Amino acid sequence: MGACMESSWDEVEARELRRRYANWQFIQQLPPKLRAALIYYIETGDLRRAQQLSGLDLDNFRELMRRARVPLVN
Amino acid sequence: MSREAIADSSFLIDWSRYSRREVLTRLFNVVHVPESVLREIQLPPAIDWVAEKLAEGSFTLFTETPDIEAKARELMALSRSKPLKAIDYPEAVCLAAGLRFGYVVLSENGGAYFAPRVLGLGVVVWRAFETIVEAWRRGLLQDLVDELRRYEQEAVHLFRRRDWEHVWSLVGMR
Repeated sequence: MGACMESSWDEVEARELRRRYANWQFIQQLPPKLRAALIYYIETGDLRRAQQLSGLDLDNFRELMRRARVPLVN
Repeated sequence: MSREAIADSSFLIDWSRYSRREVLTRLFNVVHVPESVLREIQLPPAIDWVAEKLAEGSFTLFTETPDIEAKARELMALSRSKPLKAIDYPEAVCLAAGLRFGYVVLSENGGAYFAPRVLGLGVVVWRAFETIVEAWRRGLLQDLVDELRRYEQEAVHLFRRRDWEHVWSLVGMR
């Protein structure tokens, strides 16, 4: 998923950071659509696709990321 | 470097949480905000800060013209055929305007950030990282490491190891 210009090492590092900081207990309690969108972002780092999956606008999706303690890493 | 920038939603939403956010208006004479970007900004603190900066004139509304719209849609289509994270219309407008007018593009969108390299575009894209480093270079911020850590904490945003390695090389040079 989400192959991009970043080196695979960079992608692995960014994914690890997102996984490590995320509040998984909070994420697991979310409605399925929001949970899936956050997990998609954690795994791929693709902010736009994750936001579109969530059904939220970008500002509200970023707020959801903050509440879930998922850092933006790029 | 251009003294004008154009910012997308991903940049403005995070940057507005940074307590030293006003440094942006000292780095650039004006920051353009496309109408499509403005429509995406819904919540405080971003909406309040952008409204304040538009009112004082350090930000200005950028209206998409047909040629910019066409270029933005071309870039979106091009990006889908390349190994690039998604670029949506608002950040594509920023890239198109950056290409056309020479503005520095401010974005936290990974697709937009890598677009110059992947799509071979002659446009400069900065994240918060490059913005803070440039502000420090110009003496607008004092302690680069403290500022980057402050930004990480306030925006819930992490910089990567390669970014930090660049910082250590810059700080070590001083």
